[in-house]
Amino acid sequence: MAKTILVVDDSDTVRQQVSMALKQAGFAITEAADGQEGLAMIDANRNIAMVVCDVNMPRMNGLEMVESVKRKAENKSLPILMLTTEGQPSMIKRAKEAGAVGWIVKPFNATQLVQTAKHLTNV
Amino acid sequence: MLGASWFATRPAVDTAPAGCADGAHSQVMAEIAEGKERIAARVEDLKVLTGREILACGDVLSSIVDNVRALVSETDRTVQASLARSEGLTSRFVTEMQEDLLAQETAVTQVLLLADGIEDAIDAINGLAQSSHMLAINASIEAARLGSHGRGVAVIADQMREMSKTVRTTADTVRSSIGAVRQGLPPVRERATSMHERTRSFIDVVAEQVKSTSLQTDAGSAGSGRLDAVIELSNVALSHLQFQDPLVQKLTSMNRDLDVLEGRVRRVLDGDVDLAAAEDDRSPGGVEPAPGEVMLF
Repeated sequence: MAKTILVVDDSDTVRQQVSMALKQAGFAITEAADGQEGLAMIDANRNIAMVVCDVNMPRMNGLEMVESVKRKAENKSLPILMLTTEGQPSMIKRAKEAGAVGWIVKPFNATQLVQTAKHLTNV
Repeated sequence: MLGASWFATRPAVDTAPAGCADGAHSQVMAEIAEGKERIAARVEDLKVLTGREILACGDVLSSIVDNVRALVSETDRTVQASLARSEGLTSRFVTEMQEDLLAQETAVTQVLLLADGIEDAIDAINGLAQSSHMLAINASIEAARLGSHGRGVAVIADQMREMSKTVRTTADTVRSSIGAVRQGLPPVRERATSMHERTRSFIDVVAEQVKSTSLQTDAGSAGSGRLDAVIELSNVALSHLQFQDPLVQKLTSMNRDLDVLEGRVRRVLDGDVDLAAAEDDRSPGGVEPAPGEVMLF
């Protein structure tokens, strides 16, 4: 059974591109348009194997979402990979401290993203 | 983009009437604010436009990959079905050929058995002919002893002798034909066996070829290789399609730069000429990861 990856990004195009790259590699994809929606989906779906998350989003940004997700014990092992145009070390530090597993600055390399997703989900 | 045309349509600040500095300052600030709004609106328009086009390109790309995947899958199914059909046909051909050869072998054996039976019958007929001949000789002797009274017996004796001769001649002809059949059948059997062996080895070669093709198809090397290549190309295309976010971010940062510029203009208009002291609100520097680089913690 295909592992499910949640893609959280307020940009339709980025969601489409990330989803397409991961779908072609055999992953099942679910999408959220901001941190709040992403948080709700993680709570509702225990089958999510990994999260790819943007930083700058309306309502709840990606860093706040990671902090909220990781506050819950059941999400400690859920890998969250940040995918953003931001590259500021302070933000990267905050994401790392919150429990994110990695950081990619857009534009991403689809092949590398797939390899990383496979690595993080043990595929 | 604060274009030259935008500035050109507005009166220069130093052309404002003297004594109206505050009004002129307000006008400049208002125009700057208006310009910023226009830029923000254009950025939004650009974002919508590029977003629509990128989504469309993504859909096309996705369809291409899906179609290639379906094509590869369909081809694979067709090849598998063809191989299965080919294997079925080969198997049926082998079975029918073996049945034909067996039937031929049985027929040859039956003909030989029949020949044996016919030869036995010829022996029996020859025995009868011999007995008839001896009977005819004895009848002739008896007819001679009876004289004129034995004339009728003599006629019968002659006919019996003639009949014995005819029977023997016919039996010899049949025996000769049977001999020819016996001589002719072994080469037929040898040829049949030889043909059987050649057919068997031909079938083995065909079966091996079918199996080899089947294995190659199982590995799906050609089809899946093409699909991987298409996915790789699609990934490259995806990388090229990701210009929107960085573009919007840069345009947005231009707007932020305009904010800074606006602040500086405001300070100049307010009489503050110490621009060097103006704060730089940009984030502190540091080593930032390169675009696309995967940084795992």
